[in-house]
Amino acid sequence: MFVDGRNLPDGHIVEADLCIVGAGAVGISMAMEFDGSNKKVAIVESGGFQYDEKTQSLYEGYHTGIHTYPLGRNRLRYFGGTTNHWAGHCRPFDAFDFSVRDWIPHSGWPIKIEELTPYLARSQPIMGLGKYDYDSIEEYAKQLGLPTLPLDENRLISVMKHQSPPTRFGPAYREQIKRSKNVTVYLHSNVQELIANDTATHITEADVACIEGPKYKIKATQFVLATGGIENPRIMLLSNKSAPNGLGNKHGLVGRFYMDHFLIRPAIDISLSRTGLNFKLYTHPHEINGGKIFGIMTAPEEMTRREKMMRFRMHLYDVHPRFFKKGVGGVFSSLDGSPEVSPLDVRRGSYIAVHMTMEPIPNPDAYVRLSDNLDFFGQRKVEVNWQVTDAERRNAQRAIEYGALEFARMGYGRGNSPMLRNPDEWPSHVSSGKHHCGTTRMSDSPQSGVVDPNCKVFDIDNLYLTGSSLFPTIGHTNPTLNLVALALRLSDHLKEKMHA
Amino acid sequence: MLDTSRRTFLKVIGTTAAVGLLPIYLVGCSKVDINTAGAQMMAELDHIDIASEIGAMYIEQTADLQSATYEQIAQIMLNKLALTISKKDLTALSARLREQVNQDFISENVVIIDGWMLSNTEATLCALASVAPDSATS
Repeated sequence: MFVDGRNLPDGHIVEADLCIVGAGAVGISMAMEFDGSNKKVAIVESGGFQYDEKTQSLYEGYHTGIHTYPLGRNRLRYFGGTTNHWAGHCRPFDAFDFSVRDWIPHSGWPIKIEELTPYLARSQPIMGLGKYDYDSIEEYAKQLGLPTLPLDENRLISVMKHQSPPTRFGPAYREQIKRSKNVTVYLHSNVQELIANDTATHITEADVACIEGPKYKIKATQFVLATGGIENPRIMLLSNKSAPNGLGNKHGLVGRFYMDHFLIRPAIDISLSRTGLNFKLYTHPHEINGGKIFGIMTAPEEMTRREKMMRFRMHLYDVHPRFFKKGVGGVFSSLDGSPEVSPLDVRRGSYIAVHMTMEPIPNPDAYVRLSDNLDFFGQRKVEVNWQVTDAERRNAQRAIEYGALEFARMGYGRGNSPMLRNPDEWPSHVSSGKHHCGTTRMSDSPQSGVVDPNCKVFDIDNLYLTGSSLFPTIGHTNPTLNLVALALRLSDHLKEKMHA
Repeated sequence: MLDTSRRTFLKVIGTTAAVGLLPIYLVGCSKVDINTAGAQMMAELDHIDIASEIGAMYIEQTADLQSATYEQIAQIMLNKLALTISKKDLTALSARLREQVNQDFISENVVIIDGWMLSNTEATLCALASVAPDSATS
């Protein structure tokens, strides 16, 4: 059911077994997991069912590192959260992403892919995706009658992504939650602070405030923060009554290791030497096995280890080239064995763009922390300091080299990129994936992380965090499918703990 | 269409040059001159005017090529391809050139020209086109 928090009396106390803060992909997935159980679940959502400018402004903050998308715009603060504008690209992490990679400091998860796989499969229908299969691109391509790229598998491989419709979690699951007898979503309700006992080892309640409305409390036996990679650490740091540096922050790790994917769009423009090439497997989603899929390129594990690289992926887009007005591919049509000479002027079919997404290195000096500026509740806004390093730039450059090499080796064309021209500089159009991660990382030890492998905050017996803020590393793939899987896993853990 | 015709024309030039050698071959001489070999190699390039522009840029950034003549660059090309100017070798030139370009991309024997990644061999071939006398390219 839904309750408009603004209609509650001032000072009201909500009693629940489980309090989940945030009704985005994670909060809603957990709500559905507990729907019909014997536990009373309170979900606290800042917004209502529609976008509201004043509520959204609570997300505003400051970039003090690399300036990317404004913090008040790159997330959405209403029922359904950021799934109200996500693109819907899905792929699980690879097993390799969980391992310690000795060339990447702070890499390695305390869990293995096997612990997440059952939940990834369970997440698939929640996201509106087809059959859980990410390994059979050749077979799918054959069924679709589309060619895969003849890549050198020592360099690049084709893998599959699934395309969600994209599922907007708010509209998609509103009716189920409305009918629920044990799950209540409190709308227009903003958690101001989690209140802990004197030793900051147990959460007793959440203080909630409504815009131009009442203040009330939620008392629960278990608490989950599910507000994303920026807001999770913000609430932890704001909750400082019994822990002056913020909850779970004995080791100063809350908010550190802020990560986002680097996007270079385009990374390479390919001037094709061959006419009539078919890239449709990669440029468009295709319906198959109850869902939609498309192909991307990435580096195989062996190459990544050999070259000591971070993960990256490449998408193909049939969009107008950015780096050239006149191509060169057609100069080499004969040398590439093309039966026809490709034109040099920019016309459809004479080019293809390679967009790249790259994994960042976990960096303790990149952070989310509280600024001195206040929102209209008097709460400190966030300061986000995203940084890039030379190692990441070299990684991007090497990935671009591989992309250009492979298109030429296949006899498909020649690549142009500002990073080939000037490898010592990032191109001006580098942006972020809006995938805010790493700020309350999962670890085996409180010295190196904020939560344990069960997503529980170290030293606090009833506070859990979930979402992308837990990811110690983020591979090349989009986070949403993975964070929903992590939420389902946490749900199972809490059900067991709570005897639900 | 113009480009394809030009490509065909160049191939004809190359072939004609090779056929023109037939009497020499018949009297026992198995070699052609380096200019003819150069023309035959350049016939593998399309859009020869753009190839020449690429070649000029490559020469500008490559000290070893800056004072090289057409004949010298043609010889560099033959060396790269491990070919001689024997007629027998030159019949295999086209296949050998394609193979070498592909091999360059496998072994990362590449150069960057104006942001483009090109094989060392094809860049040198473009350099040849940029210094070729008009008689070799038109």
